Amino acid sequence: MSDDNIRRVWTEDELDAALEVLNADVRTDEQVLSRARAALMITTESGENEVTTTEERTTAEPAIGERRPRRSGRRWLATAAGVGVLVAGALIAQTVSFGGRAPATAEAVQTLDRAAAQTIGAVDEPVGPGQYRYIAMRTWGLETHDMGDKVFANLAENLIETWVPANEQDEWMLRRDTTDNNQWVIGTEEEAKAAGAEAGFASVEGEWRAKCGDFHSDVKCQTEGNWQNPTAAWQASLPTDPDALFERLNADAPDNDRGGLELLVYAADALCSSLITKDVRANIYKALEKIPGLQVTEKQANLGGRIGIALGVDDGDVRQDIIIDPATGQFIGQRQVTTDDVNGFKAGTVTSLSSVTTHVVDAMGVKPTG
Amino acid sequence: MTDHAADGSEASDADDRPDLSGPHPSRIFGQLFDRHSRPLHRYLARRVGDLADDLVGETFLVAYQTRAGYDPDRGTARSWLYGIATNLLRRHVRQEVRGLHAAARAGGSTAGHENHENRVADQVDASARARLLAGALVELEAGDREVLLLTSWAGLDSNEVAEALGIPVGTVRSRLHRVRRRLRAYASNTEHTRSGDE
Repeated sequence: MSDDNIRRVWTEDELDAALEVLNADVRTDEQVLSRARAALMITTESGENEVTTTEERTTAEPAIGERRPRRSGRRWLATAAGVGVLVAGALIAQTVSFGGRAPATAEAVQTLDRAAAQTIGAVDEPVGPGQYRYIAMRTWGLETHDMGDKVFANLAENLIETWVPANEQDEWMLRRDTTDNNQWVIGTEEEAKAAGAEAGFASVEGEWRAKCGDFHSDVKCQTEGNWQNPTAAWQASLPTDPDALFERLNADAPDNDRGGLELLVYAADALCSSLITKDVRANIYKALEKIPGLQVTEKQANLGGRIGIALGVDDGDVRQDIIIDPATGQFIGQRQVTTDDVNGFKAGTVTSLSSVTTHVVDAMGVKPTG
Repeated sequence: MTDHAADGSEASDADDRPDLSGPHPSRIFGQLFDRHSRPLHRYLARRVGDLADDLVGETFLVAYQTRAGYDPDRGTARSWLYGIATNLLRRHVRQEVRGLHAAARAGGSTAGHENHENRVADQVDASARARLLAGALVELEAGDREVLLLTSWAGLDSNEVAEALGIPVGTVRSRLHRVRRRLRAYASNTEHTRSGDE
């Protein structure tokens, strides 16, 4: 065919058409954006000044502004407004090797079966007109301090209180306070003090009010629910069959190499909100039985004085646990623990911890009595 | 031609120059995120696939961290954000090249097999050309690829590309011209070579 022998270059239009088509079939996961936005908001509101990226900071990082305080450092997991957010999980992800695809252990399945049964039999304390569901979350967030020749890290406690109206379209209130409770996990308090590292720098205090609990968004009551923001409509949209619910979780969680751990993080985000109704909570427990690698990691886990059974997934460096009260099926909280020496943290170090309690109160801003 | 992501971010250049020097930039960063994260994610995903999920958040966190270095007089926030994203992408060149190789291989050879008479260059369909292009992009210098794709996929104009990369706008224009000329010749050359193989 003679045409084949005619050498000619592509036209500009042909090049543009090829550019337009190449890799055009990508899609943007709204939950990825939702998570990234929440992490950004927490960082900006906490005055966080340094972040950890998918690789160690190198020459590729843009020039640092002069205002950066030297004491600041990484923060792995912060929790705010009932939203659990992995601020810099990528730090962990770079060394993760999730290999095992073993199913949840029989002990874990049995524990979740029991928790689900007790949850179904429980009663969600009703929130009457004018009343509020009061949710108190005590969260220990990691702060690290790169002092040049030495790195320090501490867990600082924050109390995050949320008042949720009977109708979620109404006004919510969020209050964040630091408690001054602090624990050094790399270095001692004396060493840190001598080096000028100060605990609590990443904490945020303040009070916000917003309809639908959209405290950090300019648009109110427009966001679709997700695992991090489990609105009533979103909960109603979930499949009730545990297998289907697991598939939904699997589809919603980022498809990365953290395997089952990422699924548990997503489920824990939803459970930690304390907004999940008992039927959905029972279904989530049943769905978690499908998570590969899930096992009972501690039978008497103490989370801020509350004892529960811990179920977790270990990715080789870090383990994500959820803690459930075995007597009632109530969700107590979550934590992350290193399971190997990683990034200066000794194996067994708790790098984040959150526990939640909930009550019904008669007015916004009022704490439960007793 | 550009990949307009229907975000309207090009619509008003003037209001994309926020003052980030205030004591409470959180609200502004929320607005920046809402305005730019979706098209930015799409751009990143087209370049490095799933890594975009991490990189989009990192871009904004680095932006926040380096906000003192942002000067609204020198460029739009969009240029600045794509500049940060470009820096982050430079750590993942191998990932990008792997993806381009895979895209070049996808679907096998280019021109149709079914009818010799129809197998003329003009009838090579767009997806076949995209595969040829993927192979050609691998051969480019990273800096050339940045200029091309910031223009074509991110929809930045020459001034914005210059702001993003911190190079003179004249350099952007000459580089873009050179790259496009080279790609048109290279890709079509490959097209004919492969067609002629049969």
